[in-house]
Amino acid sequence: MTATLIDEPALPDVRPVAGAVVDGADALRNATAGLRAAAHDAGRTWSGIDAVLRSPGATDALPRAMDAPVATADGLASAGAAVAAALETFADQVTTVRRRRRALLADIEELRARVSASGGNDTVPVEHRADNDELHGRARRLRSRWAQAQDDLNGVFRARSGSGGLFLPGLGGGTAPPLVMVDLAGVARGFDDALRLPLLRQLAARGPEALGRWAAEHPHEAARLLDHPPAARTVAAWWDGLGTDERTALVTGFSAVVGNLEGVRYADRARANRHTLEVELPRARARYAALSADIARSRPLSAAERAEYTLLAERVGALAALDRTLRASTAAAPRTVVALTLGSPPLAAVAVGDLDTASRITVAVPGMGNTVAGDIEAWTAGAGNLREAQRSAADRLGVDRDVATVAWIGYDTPDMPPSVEVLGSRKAAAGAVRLRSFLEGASGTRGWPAGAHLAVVAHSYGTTTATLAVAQTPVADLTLLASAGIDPSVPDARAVEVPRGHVWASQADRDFVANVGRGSVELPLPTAGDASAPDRVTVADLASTHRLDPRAPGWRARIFSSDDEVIEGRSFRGSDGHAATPAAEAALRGEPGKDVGYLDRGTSSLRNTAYTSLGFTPGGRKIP
Amino acid sequence: MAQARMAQGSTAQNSTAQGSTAQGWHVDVAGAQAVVERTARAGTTAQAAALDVDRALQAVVGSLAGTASAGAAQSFRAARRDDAPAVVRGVVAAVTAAAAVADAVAEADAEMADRTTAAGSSRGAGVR
Repeated sequence: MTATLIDEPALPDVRPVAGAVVDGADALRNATAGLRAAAHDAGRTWSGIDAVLRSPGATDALPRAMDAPVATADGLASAGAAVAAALETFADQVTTVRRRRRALLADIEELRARVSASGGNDTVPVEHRADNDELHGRARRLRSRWAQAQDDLNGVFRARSGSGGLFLPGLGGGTAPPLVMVDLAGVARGFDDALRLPLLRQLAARGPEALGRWAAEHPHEAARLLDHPPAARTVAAWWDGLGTDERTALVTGFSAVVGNLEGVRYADRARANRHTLEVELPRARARYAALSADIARSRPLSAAERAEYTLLAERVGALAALDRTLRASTAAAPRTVVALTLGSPPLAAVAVGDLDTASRITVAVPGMGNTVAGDIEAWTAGAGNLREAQRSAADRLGVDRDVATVAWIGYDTPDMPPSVEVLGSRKAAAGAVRLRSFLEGASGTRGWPAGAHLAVVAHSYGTTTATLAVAQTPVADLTLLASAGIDPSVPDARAVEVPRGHVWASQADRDFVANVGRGSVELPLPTAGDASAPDRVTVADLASTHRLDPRAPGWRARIFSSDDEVIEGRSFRGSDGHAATPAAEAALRGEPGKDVGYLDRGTSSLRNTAYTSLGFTPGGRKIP
Repeated sequence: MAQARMAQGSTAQNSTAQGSTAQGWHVDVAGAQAVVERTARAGTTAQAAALDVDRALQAVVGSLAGTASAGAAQSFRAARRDDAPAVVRGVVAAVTAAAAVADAVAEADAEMADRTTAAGSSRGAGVR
């Protein structure tokens, strides 16, 4: 018999909410089951590894590598399911205990009201003691039931905590290491790289012939090295680890790949491309001559032969132009071919200076109508002029003069009018992908932080291409000459990965072509004033997809002059039109030449571009 | 595109499988790459599931706050919390191990490339 009047504290304290417990159970069951499914998926896939990758002594343990994770996932899922079931049972108990508690509490309050009405307080009058005892009994049973529910749940937790785990109730859960997110796709790529580069090294150890045979018999693998290359830094580390003989074997036996493989030392790329040139030029000439002879004999060419003939004409032209370009190399301005692909059109990049040692590399990107066959000599002359001007500027500015430039005809430029290709952004977008690869390759090869020490100078449609490229790949300085227009996806200078204040634009007053690319056909107005700076009238509007003028205030580039200027007492000519190197082209033809262009010697644009591409204002102030 | 190329390449490569098996080693680059990539994808799924497991364990502990089971739940979580990351680590370790043996495989591949080509085989320079 209990003399004390029952009250609410005699009831169990039930804080959990059944719904939350069930939700936790569901989440645990589903998550652990999901993990088990993924682990089994991995295990099933991995079970095929022995059939495709086997090297006794090296791969013996590989097929079993997934056993442990699958077993762990199974164990966890089993524990998760058991705990989830126990939690659901516990949630039922929560519901039941809560319901009974509510009923019991109502009865308690009713009894306490009766006791109060009869004038009693916590001392139970005799006539209510039986009821009070009965309620105490119910409360005791309910507490017991609640305690049992928790004990049952604890037992399952304990049983499912794993054999290795130390069960210490009350311990916090923060002792396990956190899940470190891993880029598994990157790990898979690492496998791919790991398999490719050592293979090349081993083949190289057997000499260029073995490499050449392998390349001939595995053209897809060779092409894949260029289409989906390993990271430049990976290649650079691998290349550094090769012996001299291995490198030489790769340079001569695998030149078409090595000459373009980002990460390979530029001097070796140059050797490889020189080798390609020396092998392919006579070969292409001989085949071209043979087909020409067939044509002369009126033997009809098959469709394949006609296609080959066209390709050979391009190839011979490009290789011959590169050969002439390299012949103009001097000790002071050494030229090397640092990229060369013989597709249609052939593409190439010629370095002026030493890319392996230069403290700064400036990549010059040309515009429409530029091909290796027709323009690499003049474009390299322009790049050479730029390097010469940079070295001169470096002397005046007191900075390192070991700089290099690259005449990069690394993309399929738009055809000249009447083609309307120049009004679209398609070729610029494709070129931007290639330019990004070259720039990122330079960073990786040199071990430079992304964008550091790299400048881009672009001309005409090259500005369309370059801005799309540096919108994603950082460079230190960007100079846009005679822009044929910027794509709207690069709405202003803030959209490129170039430090603020390091983006420059310029167009000569006498250039009436650049604006055509932007869709605006303009003509000079007859003027009685300064003929070097004629007024313009717009006579037609074309549907260009890249209409933005980087000189417009809204585009936020900094501007410099490409017109006649006197700087520090020295006269510089303004560009006479749109062309970048008319004087250099005339010189190559052996003609005197009258006009000068943006990258010709003695022009204000060349002088100013030299400064901006070194990270200085045309006035000689270092840009922070 | 690369996969397509690899698949094409592997057809010819598989034709030399007999010779390579006799040497006790075998590598089908396209096949191995496919296994590794599919395993890596499953690993990525496992990684997402591992995050879900961690959140679920947390939810269970939270739902039992204020009960005599809260401590047991926390201990269960502590004991099981590393299981899911261990699964992910296992997948990563397998794929990484495959990369680690690639060097040896490549060496064997190169030997086969040298030998089969020198013998005038028209079936390809190695099982690659």
